[in-house]
This record gives sequence, C-alpha cells and structure tokens, in this order.
Amino acid sequence: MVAPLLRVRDLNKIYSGKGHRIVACEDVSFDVYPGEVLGIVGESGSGKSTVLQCLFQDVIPTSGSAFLTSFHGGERNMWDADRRERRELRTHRMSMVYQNPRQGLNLMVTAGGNVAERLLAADWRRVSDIRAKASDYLVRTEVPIERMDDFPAFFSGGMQQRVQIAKALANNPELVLLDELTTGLDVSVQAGVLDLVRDIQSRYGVTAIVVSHDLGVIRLLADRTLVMKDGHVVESGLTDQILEDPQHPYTQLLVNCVTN
Amino acid sequence: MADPMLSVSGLSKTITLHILHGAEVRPLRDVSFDLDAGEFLAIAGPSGAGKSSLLKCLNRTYLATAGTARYITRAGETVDLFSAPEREVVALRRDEITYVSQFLKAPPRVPAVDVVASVLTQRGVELEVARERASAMLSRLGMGPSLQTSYPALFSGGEQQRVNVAKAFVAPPRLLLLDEPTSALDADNRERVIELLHEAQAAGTAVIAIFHDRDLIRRLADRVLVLADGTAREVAPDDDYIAGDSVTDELLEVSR
Repeated sequence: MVAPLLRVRDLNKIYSGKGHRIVACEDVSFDVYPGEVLGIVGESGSGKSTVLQCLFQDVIPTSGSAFLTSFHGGERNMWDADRRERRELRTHRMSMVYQNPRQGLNLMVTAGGNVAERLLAADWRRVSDIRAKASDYLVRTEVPIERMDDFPAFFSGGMQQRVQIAKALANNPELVLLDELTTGLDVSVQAGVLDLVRDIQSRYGVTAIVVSHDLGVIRLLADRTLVMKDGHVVESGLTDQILEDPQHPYTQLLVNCVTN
Repeated sequence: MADPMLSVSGLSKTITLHILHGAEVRPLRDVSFDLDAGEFLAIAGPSGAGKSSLLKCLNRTYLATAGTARYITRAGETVDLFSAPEREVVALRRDEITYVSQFLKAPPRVPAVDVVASVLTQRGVELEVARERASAMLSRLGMGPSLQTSYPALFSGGEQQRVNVAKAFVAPPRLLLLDEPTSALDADNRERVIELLHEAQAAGTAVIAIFHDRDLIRRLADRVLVLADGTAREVAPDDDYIAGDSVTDELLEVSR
C-alpha cells in the first residue's frame, strides 16, 4: 500500500487573549495520499482555513504534528522546522492559492513577475528560463500571454485567481493548498476556474487539499472529504458517501441545504 | 470448492435522519448472497424495497450498518468492501468495480466522449486512445458524433443513460453494479445493452443488476434476488414470480 504524502496528527490552534479563548481547530488528524484531492468542507468559522494556514505556516499551530514524506523522510515534524526549513517548505514543497488574490499575489508586480518570483525563490537563476517557464504556466492557466507584463491589480477576479494558480504550480509543488478558490467569483467565472483546476489535476495528478464551504466544489474536485464544525472533524469519508449517506447531524443539515 | 468472488453476509442498513428528529429508515435487513465470476445476479422487487441501497452499499456510496462483503480482488486478496480503507475502495472503483447509477451524474461542461474516456484515462490509458475507444462505444450505443461532443447535461434521459452505460462497458470491470440500466431506453438500444452485457459476462465480468423488466431478467439472469421490505430471498429466473404476468403486483403482494 502506498504511504501517505502528508500525515497530520492532533492539530490544535487556540487563540487566547484577555479573558477569552477561541478554539480554531482541535485534535484534527488526517492523511493525504499521493495524487489524491482531499476536500475539507464546513461553514465559516469551522476551522477549515486554519488547517491550511497551519500547514502553510502562515499561522503557527498551538500543538500537533505534520509529516511530509519528502521532509526529512517523513520523520521530522514540519512544525518544528527552523526558519530556513520553513522557507524551503513554502517555496519548494507546498504552495497555497488564497481566497483573496491579494494574499497570494503582489498586485503591483506583473503577472509574469509574480510567477517568476516563485521560481526565483526556488533557485531558478537564468532570466530567459524563468520568463519561458512563467509564460508556459500562464498559458496553461489560460491567462492571455499578451497580459503577462500587466499588473494583476488591473485584472478581473477570475484572471487574478488564474495567475495565482499559475504561480502556485510553477515550481511543481508536491502539495497544493486551495482555500475557497472560487468564493467571491460570479458563477460563470467560478466554472472556468474549477474546470481549470480539474483539468490540471487530471493531467498532472497534483496532490491537493481543497477547502470550500461549497459542496458543489467539493463534489467536483475531491476524492475524499472531511467535514468540520466548530474546530472539529465531525465526519470523513469518500466524497460521494458524504453527500449521499451523511452520518453526522451537521453533515445531514449541510447536504440538505443545497438548493438543487 | 473455491471461494466465491463476492460473498455478502448479514447486510443491514439503517439510515438515521437526525434532521427529522432521529427518524429511522431501514432499507436492508440481514441480506446475504454469493456471486461468482461471470455470474449474473438480477435484483427484483417493488420500489422502495432496498434495491438501490444494496448496490450503493457495495459501492460504498452508502455505509453498511452491519454485515460483510468479502470480495476477492484480481490480485487474489480478500477485502471487505464495507470496511476496507477508503484508499482501497478508490483503487477498486478505478480498476475492478464499476457502479452505474440510475441517473447520470456527469461533471458539468465536459463532452460526453470525455465523460466516458475518463474511465480509461484514470486507468492510465492515453487520452487519444481513450477518446477513440469511448467514441466507438458511444457509436455502438447509437450516439452520433455531434452528440458525443456535446455536454450530457443537455441530453434527454435516454441519451444520458446511454452515456452512463457506455462508462460501464468501455472498460469492462470484474464486478459491475447496474441500477436499472435500460429504464429509459428504446427497444433497439435495450437490445444493444443486452448484447454488451452478454459480451462482458463472457469475458468474466460478474454482474449485479436491478431490473423491473421481467423479460430482461429471464434473458440475462443466472439467479434472482427478490427484495421486499428490505429482506431478500433468492429465486430462479424461471420462477413464477418472474415468469408471472403481473410480476410487480405479486411482488407488491409479498411486501404487504
């Protein structure tokens, strides 16, 4: 049996301040296998984005462990990484597509420059190689090549999202984290972005974690799904089973709230 | 005597509807049967008897509440389809077990030929080869080139069903689970599906199929599992229940 690419065990993230304590996620554990798309679904505030932020180390977890096969042979907790290792994890091994393109892109650097930044971080040096590679990925994500030298600040939301995807894929990461990538886009643009991700997944077999509140997105992209509520994983299973035979009261509610 | 390819024992399914104050539905109670390679088991019974639930449990779209489904894989390993790790179920669905639901659930904005070809590309067949084979299968089911490159969401019920059936036969699996595969087809297309089923069976595919049409059961099935009110009993295809003129009425009678 193939070993998991990523193992997450007992992830906890607690925000505490004066007189209050907010549990963003508690005892979250799961595996992700090579070539698989894992969905995480839940309402806002359920902790699903926190899981991704912890994995990408935008946020430092309170406790828990995460093992990536290629990182010290899966022996060293990613969350014990030093600065240099953390940078390497974020530039070579994983990438993140944020709900808000402002987080994932520098809007005042050209589209090509954004992708190039990622390649530079991954130790690419020759300008001509970088430019060729950047244009290759923009083409793959259907960003018109004549817009390569324009600033994403002037792109539509859908095109910004496609530049983000190009940037996220440019250095062949082992694991791609996608956070609500279609939220806030109108439905026809959502469809285009989803088709793109699905096409890339089937062509290149990318391993990914897709976080969404939208069961339609999960149905389309995920092989397996975790359902989160109030910081906990309340149910997990094959995506079609979660949708057709949900076990947990919250999942049943969620599935029955879908309008069509 | 070798073990059967599939041995279902004590399958029960209870659905608890928490959103309806914990109401319980019990579509299946203590269902058991065996199936050998190349064998054709028809499932008969009135609407609501648990027929689709049975197939969904075998496909793991439903979680069985009790029981086991010992399946011997192509590699000769025995797995319990009800409790195998999800990863193994994903692999079995890709390589060995195909479930065809009553209604097509095709991804949006994907042409019919690619919907069918995806079964092959998932198994590592080159896209161009997969498209050719998918196209040939759809042609065999009477679907012309212009329909093949259209989106199934726009199709009629019978056309969607043919796309669904093509997915099953473009790469015949070891175990085929069919939920009323001919319910929306005209007589010609029904005959084509019967032909495909005969071919698959001859190639060793074991089939579990839900049919309402007693003529089809007589022509195809080796054995018949009659479900009524969630419980099963096995009859021969030439049993009175199947041969009778008003089979549905009689089956309804059984369920009362």
